Amino acid sequence: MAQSIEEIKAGLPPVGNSIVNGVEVELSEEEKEATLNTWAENELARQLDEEANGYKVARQSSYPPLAEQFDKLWHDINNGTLDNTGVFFTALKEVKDNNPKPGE
Amino acid sequence: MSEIQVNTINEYTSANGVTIDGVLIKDGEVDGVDVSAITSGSLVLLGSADASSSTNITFDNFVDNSTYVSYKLYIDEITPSTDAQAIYFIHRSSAPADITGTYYRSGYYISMYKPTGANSSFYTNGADTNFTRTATGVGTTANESLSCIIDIFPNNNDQLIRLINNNIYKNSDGDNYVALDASTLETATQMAGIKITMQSGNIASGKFRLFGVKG
Repeated sequence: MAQSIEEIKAGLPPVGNSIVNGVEVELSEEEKEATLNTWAENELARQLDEEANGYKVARQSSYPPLAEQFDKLWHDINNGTLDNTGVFFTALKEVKDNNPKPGE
Repeated sequence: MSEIQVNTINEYTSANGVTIDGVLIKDGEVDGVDVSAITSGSLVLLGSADASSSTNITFDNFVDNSTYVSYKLYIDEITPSTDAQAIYFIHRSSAPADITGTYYRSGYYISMYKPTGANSSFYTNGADTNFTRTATGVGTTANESLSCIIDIFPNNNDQLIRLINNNIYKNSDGDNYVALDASTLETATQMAGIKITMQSGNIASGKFRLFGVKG
C-alpha cells in the first residue's frame, strides 16, 4: 500500500545543491521545500503506479517465451485439448493467478 | 630534470625538420601526417559536471544553432540517492527557465540478464507533463547505475525538440537492461538548455559531459 506524502517526505534525503553549468548552487529554503514536495509527489505517483500496474510487469516476466507458448498451442490442437484443460491455458493461468490484477 | 625555455626551435640542417623524442616535426607534418589544416574536431566539449548528492544537473544556454547541428550528452554511472527511480529530463529556455508542456515518449527495453526470466517490452504513446523520463527503477545498490548517450536536437528551425536516449543499466531488482527512448516536445519556446533530475531524491553520483556537434 502506498505511503502518505508525510511518510514519504520523512524518508527522503535532504535536498542537495544544484549544479548549473558546472557550478554548485545552493537552493533557497523555499526552493528546497518545493523540491521536496515534488519528490514526494513523484514518489507517491510511482508507488500508486506500482500498485495499479505492477502485476503487468510481473506477468510479462513470468509468461513462457513465445516459442514455448506456440508449442503448447500446437500440442493442444494436436491432442484435441484446445480448451481450459490444455497446457497452453493452464500455463498462462498459473502466471495470472500468481500475479493477480488488483481487485480480482 | 632540466627544462628548456625558448621561443623558437629551428631545424639545424636545412629541410631535415626537428625531432623530439623520435617524433619528426617538419613543414606542417608530424611524423609525415599533415596537421597544418586541422582547425579543431567536430565534437566540442561544452560543459561538464560531476554529481555529488545534487538535486539536479543543469546545462543552461549551450544551444548555438549557428555553430552546432546537435548535441551529445554523455552520462556515466548515474546513481540515485533513493531506490528505484527514473531519470527526468527537462528542457530549458534562455531565460533560463523550465519549458513546460506535454513531452511525448516511446521506446523499448530489452533485458540482457534477469534472474527471474526475460523481460523485454515496447512502450508507446507515453506522455508526461513538464518532463520526459527514461529507465524506471535505477537502483542504489552497488553496480545499479545507468550510463547513456543522449542526442539532443533543439527546435532550431521548427517547434519540435527531439531527444534520443540510448542507455544501459542495472535496475533496483538487479536486472540488466539495454533501452532506447525517444521523446518530443512541441513548443514555440526556443530550447537553450537541459536539466537532469531523478524522479525523487538527489542524484547521488554520476559524470555528465555535454558536447556540441559542429555543422
